[in-house]
Amino acid sequence: MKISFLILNAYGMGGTIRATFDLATAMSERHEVEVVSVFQHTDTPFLPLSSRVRLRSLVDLREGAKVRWPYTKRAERLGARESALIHPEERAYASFSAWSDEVLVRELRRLRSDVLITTRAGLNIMAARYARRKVVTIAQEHLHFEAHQPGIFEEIRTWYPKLDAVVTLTEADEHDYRNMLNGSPTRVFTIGNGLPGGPRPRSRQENRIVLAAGRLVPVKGYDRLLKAFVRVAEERPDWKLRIYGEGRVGDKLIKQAVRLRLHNNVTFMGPTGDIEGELAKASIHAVSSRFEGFGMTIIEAFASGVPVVSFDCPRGPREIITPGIDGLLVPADDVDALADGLIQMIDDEEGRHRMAKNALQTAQSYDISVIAKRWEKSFAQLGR
Amino acid sequence: MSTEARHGVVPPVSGRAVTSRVGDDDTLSIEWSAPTGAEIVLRHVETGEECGAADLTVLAPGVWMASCRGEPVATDDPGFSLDGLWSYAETRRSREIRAFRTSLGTLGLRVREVEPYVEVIRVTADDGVIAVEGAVAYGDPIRGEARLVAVARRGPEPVSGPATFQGRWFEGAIEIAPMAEAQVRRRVFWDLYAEFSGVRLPLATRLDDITDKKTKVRFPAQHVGQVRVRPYYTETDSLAVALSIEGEKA
Repeated sequence: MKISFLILNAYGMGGTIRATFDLATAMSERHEVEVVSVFQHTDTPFLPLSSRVRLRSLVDLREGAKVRWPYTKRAERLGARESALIHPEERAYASFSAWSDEVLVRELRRLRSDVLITTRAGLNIMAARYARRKVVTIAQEHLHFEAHQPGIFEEIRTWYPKLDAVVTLTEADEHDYRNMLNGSPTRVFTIGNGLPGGPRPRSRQENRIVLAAGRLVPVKGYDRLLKAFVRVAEERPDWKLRIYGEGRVGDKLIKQAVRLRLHNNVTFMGPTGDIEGELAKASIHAVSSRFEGFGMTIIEAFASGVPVVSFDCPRGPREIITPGIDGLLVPADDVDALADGLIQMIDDEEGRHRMAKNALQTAQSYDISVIAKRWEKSFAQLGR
Repeated sequence: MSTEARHGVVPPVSGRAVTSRVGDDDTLSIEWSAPTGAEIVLRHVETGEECGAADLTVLAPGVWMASCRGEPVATDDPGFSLDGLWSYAETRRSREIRAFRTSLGTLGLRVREVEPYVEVIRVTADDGVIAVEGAVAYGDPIRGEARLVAVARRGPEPVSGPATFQGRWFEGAIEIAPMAEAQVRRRVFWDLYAEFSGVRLPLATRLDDITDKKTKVRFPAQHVGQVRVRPYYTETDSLAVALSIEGEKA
């Protein structure tokens, strides 16, 4: 079976890219798999992808990149114009252009894979509109249902019924998409992100380190984590917080940490290509997100034997974490509750060790081989 | 671990290390997932020199990668314990040997020459004062009155403030006004030391795994008139203070 993944930019870093690469890698053991990146801005991807998976891009944004004749002039002209096919409320709208519209449509009309898996709303809609009828189209939603703005949501409502299936990360999303798609033949499945198998470094619960990881953007709620950590640092001054990742509010967060006098306890570690190694050095993983489409770092933390303290935000955390068993859920948006949760986890050393052990168990049900099989089962149900 | 390795593209090594650490006695102890009789070979990354792991004290400074039966030693040990690093630094030493796990999941050793210094635990930069708490690393305990000394790299004479050593523990504070008043150029950098009986121990934060603290750690800035005073870590993770005339970038 030939399977194509269509992704915005495979060369950056982020949850969607990692999940797509891991799934593509697992599927490539049995299928011919390619990842098609709409954009490319560097020579090689930041995250690891098996050499069995073909990676290609549609729009080359690298300096000095030339579009081949006879499209050179056209690419220049259209590249400067806004996209007309992607909805302006698609979160990555600014990345798209009239040129990427044209290239995408051409690609989708030409693509002859058995299965096309698209990975964000804008691309899902494009697949629904332009993919060949013989191609099984599966839209993956990495954002949670309510995260879409009303305008793009109308497009989703119009076009998703033309897809063969929508795959959501959480059961809560599955429920919402089923309601929306009521009456259309489009199937809806919940398949969480998978975790690559194989051995992983494991936390000994010996370092007084709380770890948070993800892009430094408002949705991750690091501003609130910093506020919560003021109390943690006051009450348990030998505990440190390490925040991994980079992003547009990075500088703002660093300034906030300085203002809160957290310089002795909080370090902005920058991006890492070895999050499992870093997790294994920590003892607690903190999730302060305003929402989490899924919560891949929770699974990663579990697999490294690190229990999680998380806001009970929509939607992933509560479907992954079993409170008191492998982590703690605290009321969403409640900074004091987050501080309480962290201090409770810090102080309960025995409980932390027990939860760390349980977390390893929980992680097993997200093994990529288990997840890939679930995808294949969905292909079988959709086969033409 | 890379995706290739995870998915079995790279041949699995014969047994994995569950624990791989260098102890306070400078010996490498490895606990294997399955028994292995094979010997560990260490290879210097730069020179290619090879030697066994029985006596680590002969290792030249630099990074050494461990292998077993010709294959890199894979380890599940994050290779990092803050308490372990502290306890290791409590002994007077001229050389530090640390085990670490590479991002590929293999075992390496890093050998460094060291001299006694004060490991900084806490820096306070408020109310016109820079205060430092720390502990002696790789040196003998000290007891008594000391000074926290700031030495300008170019220009002004050193300035100092009161400090004490209580065994390993060090505490000191320095007023920033005298440093600012000596400001003659747009920017002046001061290195900090703990001084006891005429001996200056550098202040630094090295008992962790955080590289490039210069860019990762930002301390609060204070102002004396137009002079902005901000502690920072140098490229060697030593603690220093940058004084710059307001309006100029530090």
